[in-house]
Amino acid sequence: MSFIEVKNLTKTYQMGEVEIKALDDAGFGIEKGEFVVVVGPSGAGKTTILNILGGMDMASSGEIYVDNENITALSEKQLTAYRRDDVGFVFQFYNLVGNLTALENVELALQISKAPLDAKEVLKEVGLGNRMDNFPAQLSGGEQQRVSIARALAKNPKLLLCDEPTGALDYITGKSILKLLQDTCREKGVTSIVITHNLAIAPMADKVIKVKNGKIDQILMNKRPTPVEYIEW
Amino acid sequence: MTKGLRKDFRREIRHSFSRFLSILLISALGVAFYAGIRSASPAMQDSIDAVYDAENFMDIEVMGTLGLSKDDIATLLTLDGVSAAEGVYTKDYLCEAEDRVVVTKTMSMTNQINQFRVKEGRYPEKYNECLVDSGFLEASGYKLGDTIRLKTGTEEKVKDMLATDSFLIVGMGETAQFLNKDHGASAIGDGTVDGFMLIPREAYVAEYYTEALVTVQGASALNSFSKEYKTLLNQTTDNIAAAAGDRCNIRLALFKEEADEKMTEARLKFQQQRDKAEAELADAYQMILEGQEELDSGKIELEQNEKQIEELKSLFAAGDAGLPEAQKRVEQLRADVTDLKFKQQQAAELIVEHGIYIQDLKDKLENDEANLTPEELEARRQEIATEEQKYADEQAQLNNIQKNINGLEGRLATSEAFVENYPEASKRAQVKIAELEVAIEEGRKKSLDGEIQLERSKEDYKLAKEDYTAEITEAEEKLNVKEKQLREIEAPKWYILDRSSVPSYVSYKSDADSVAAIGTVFPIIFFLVAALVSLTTMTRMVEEERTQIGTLKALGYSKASIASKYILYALFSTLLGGLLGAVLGEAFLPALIIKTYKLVYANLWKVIVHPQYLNAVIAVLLAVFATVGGAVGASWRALSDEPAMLMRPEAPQVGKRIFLEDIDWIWQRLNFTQKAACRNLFRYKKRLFMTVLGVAGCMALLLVGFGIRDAVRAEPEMQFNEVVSYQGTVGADTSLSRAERRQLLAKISSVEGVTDYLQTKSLMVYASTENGATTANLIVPQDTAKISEYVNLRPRFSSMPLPLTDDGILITEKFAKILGVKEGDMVTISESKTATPVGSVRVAGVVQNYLNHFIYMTPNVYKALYGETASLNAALLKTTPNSDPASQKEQILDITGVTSVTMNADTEQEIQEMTENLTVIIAVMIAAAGLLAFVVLYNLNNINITERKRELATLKVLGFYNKELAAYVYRENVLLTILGVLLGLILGTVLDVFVMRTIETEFVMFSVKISWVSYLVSILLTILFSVLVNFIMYFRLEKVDMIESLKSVE
Repeated sequence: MSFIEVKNLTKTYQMGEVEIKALDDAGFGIEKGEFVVVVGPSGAGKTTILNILGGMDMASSGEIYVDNENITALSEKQLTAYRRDDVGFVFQFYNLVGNLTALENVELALQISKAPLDAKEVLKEVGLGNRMDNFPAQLSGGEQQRVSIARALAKNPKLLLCDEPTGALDYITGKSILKLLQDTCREKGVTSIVITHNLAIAPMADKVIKVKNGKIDQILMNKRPTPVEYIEW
Repeated sequence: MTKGLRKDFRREIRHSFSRFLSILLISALGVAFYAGIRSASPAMQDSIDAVYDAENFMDIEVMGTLGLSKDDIATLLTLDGVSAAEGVYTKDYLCEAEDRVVVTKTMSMTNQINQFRVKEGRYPEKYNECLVDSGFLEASGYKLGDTIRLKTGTEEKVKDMLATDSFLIVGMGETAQFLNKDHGASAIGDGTVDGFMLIPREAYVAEYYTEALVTVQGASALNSFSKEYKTLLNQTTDNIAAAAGDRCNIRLALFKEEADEKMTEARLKFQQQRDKAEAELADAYQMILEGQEELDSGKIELEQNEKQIEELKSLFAAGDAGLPEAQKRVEQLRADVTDLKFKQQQAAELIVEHGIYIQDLKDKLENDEANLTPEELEARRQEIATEEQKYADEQAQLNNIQKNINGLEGRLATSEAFVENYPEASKRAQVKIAELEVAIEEGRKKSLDGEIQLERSKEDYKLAKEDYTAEITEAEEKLNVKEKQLREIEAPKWYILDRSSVPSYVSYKSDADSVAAIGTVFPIIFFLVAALVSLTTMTRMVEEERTQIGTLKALGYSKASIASKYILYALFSTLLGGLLGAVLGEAFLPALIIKTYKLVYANLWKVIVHPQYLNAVIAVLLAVFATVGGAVGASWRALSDEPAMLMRPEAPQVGKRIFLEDIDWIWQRLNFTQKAACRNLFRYKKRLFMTVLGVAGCMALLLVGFGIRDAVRAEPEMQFNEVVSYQGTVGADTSLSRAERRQLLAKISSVEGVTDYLQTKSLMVYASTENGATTANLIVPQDTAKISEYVNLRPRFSSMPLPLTDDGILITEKFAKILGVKEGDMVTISESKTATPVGSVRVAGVVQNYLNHFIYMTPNVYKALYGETASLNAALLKTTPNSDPASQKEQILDITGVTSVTMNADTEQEIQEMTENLTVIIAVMIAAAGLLAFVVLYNLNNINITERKRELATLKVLGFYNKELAAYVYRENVLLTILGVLLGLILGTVLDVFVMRTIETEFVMFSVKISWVSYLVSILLTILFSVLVNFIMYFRLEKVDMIESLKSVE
């Protein structure tokens, strides 16, 4: 069994009379330490995958095993524990607490973590060693995203989930963020899943999962992932 | 507005109905409180005005210092502005009831003015019938059908004014003159009028009316509290004042004539009394002299008895000693007698033999005669003669012996009798001695008793003489004073008074003013918070719809049409809420408040609540102004941005370091979440301000609510524990002589539980300065040094009592405040408002006191002020802590000469019962506070959660449990609540002082001291409200959707 095993995952939303299938019988597996890109157009169901995988939403049917644990069977409280201990989340809009400094934002996550890393160390690693005491508003978008990544990493998660991490960033900054994610994945061996609509960045992943109309369209394996530096879009 | 916008507007309301409703409700609440409470005071005024009109209550009261004649009344009627004028007799009388002496105010019946409402029975028809009010019945215990007897309580006679002193109660009724239980002060009895009595005019014999009641043309149409009423009244008052001069001069001339007559009469009476008293004294002295005499003669007799005993005793002592000798002598005598008798016998025998011998000789001679020689014959004859001589001698000797025996036998008989009779005689003498001794004992005792008796009589005589001297001096002084007064009488004066001379009018007016004052402060706090909350809500709404505004602007909609949505939203919700609040507030709050006051003003039998449109309009306008202003302001700010800017998310508020971070020793002590909470507090300044204000408002309202209760409850406690240390006051008949008074006091001391008393002269006086005037209890203690044991004469903020000296008077705090005086100022004292001032006196100090007004004065100051010695007429009583005041009161009232007994325990209980009325007000306050806290906190929390939805969702994604999330948010709320509570403590304490000062009535001073229990309860309740709201908000937190965190910032 893979580190992450998604089986027959279905998610239906009831919108009044209409039933909308956001995910229809999706299934895939992800190995430990893999860098995975989930790609697909808007509304394809990739965010739904992310939500369920991240323990933020419940599946209508199907199972997801993370490290041999069936997270679809977890209660809401257990899901919270799963989020806090096993998942690191990187948001498209960083979602930093504006009133806390970079360091404090990281510390905020560490407060509740079981086996946290040192916040300052992690910030240094993401290249913000000298911006630790700045407030989000004093940081650029890229820097904010770095803080967001640091916040996710410092929890020492089993799984790093990134929702369009470059979506709000310019090209160069976006690239550097992707590089940071790729490097982290390689160096720390953290299983990382990046969700994007940008097909161009697919080559940098170990595994590319293409989603279309709520179904898994294609799963590609890159034997030799391209370093981010060589990817253009 | 285009069709699209209109549709959007309608949907907006439907979708955000809870927001619409919250603005509506908060406006309703604010407006209801504002309009409702502010309308209460006018409603109170309208109600009393309706009552006055219904009873045709007088507008003006004219009092003449020497009364008013029928001509005076006729003159009044001719004056411009006077619609009716009636002369009435008023006077206070005492009426003895079963367990007390009641002071009743009497008034003659009128034709039109001051109509009574007969509630039971009927109006009096005959001259000896009367109608009383419920106050009289309650105080006296009499019922309809009982006959009562009036007394003046002074030297005057009832018949000076009334044809009879006994009246049949035929009816019970009430008058607007006495709205509450307070019937005013009186110069007689215990100084407080208990009830009222209406007596038919036929019952009056007095020539002059005491006062005239006047109604003014057109006055009843006006509100008695209005300026127009005052202006109208002033015109009429001026007219009356103009007419007063002439009338008074006429009256003076008449009076002087009468006065001379009266004075002569009084002098005569005084002389008679003096003569009588002197004769009594002379009698007493005579008795003493007689007693002395009796005592002296007793002493002489005693001495004689003592002498006799001495003699008897010495006699028998000798007798006792002589008895054995006597017995011996008897024996000796007996032996002697026997001896002699033997001798006698022998002698007698010898004589017989001698006689025979002689006979023999003779016979022989006869025989021998013839035989014998003459010589022989002669010799023989010689021998016979010799023998015969011898015989005669022996015969004599025998006689002698007989004589001796007789003598001895006589002596023997005497001695024998002595020996035989002596024991009995001795016994008899002993009895006699015992008798004498008893007599002496009795005599001594009698003498001693006599001496004591005499001493007592002398003492009594001395006291009586002193009393006599004092009383005669006093009486003479009085007479002189009276004469002087009569001599120096000034022209009488007319006092033209308006309704403010009616005590219940004044206290009702002050209560209405208090309500108005509360109506100024409270609703404003409430209103302010409500307005701020609506404003915040509107601002928030505009901010939420930034993007839409930008889009519309980009589409080319004009600023006005975009803004109109928010403005109309605010307008609709506030207007609807405001109207609802105005209607509900005006309909219920004034009526509720009047109902509460009716507990005190029982005779306020009409409740008139006119809607106060102005208040309602002002309130609604203010509410609309606040919310619509907020909407305009917020949308203006948003609209002035470029559409592009608007469609981009608003730049996140720049995180800032707060000043606390500079204070290392605090900041470093805080843990991470505490730091975050602190920073968040300062980040959302508006919210901080609003929440703190809301919580503080709630806290302040609670504190004031409980504070009022505390103060009113503590008031009698402070008065009767802190200020006075006596337990009762006894009033005595002023006509008692000193001896009678002494007797009375002795009886009071013997009542169980009474430990001590202090005699005083107590009376009600009217005191005035340039700054103010009121009536007060004047207390002149007989023993100045002792007053400190009965009253704690110390200033409120000092522990040192002030001494009562001849330096001036001590007055109580509230009294000093009303008069506007301080130490060293002068106060003018009169017997009543309308009497000529007695004089002025210096204030030596101001002392704490919480109930009624007191003036403490030494006898010397009194004498200097009044020109006469203070005649004692009351006593302050001290009793043991566990004694029974009710039985003491009963026992003391039974003592002759006691006119009144007031036990402090009763007064304390009465006040405490009255304070129960306040429960309603406190309940309203607590409800208001709760509502305020709830509405404000709910609204702000709601905004808080909405504003920070994204942050909260992110935290959820990061794995915060709901509890942790709640703790993260609540930490701020807790801090805000604490800040609010602290601010509320200050605000409430300050407000409490203000409110207490406004609701204080004239005779009461509240010690503004909120108890720690009230502080605690207020804090706990505030926290409870806060916790409750936060508890409800927990469900909102639970519902925060994590998906929010993924959405783009808008």
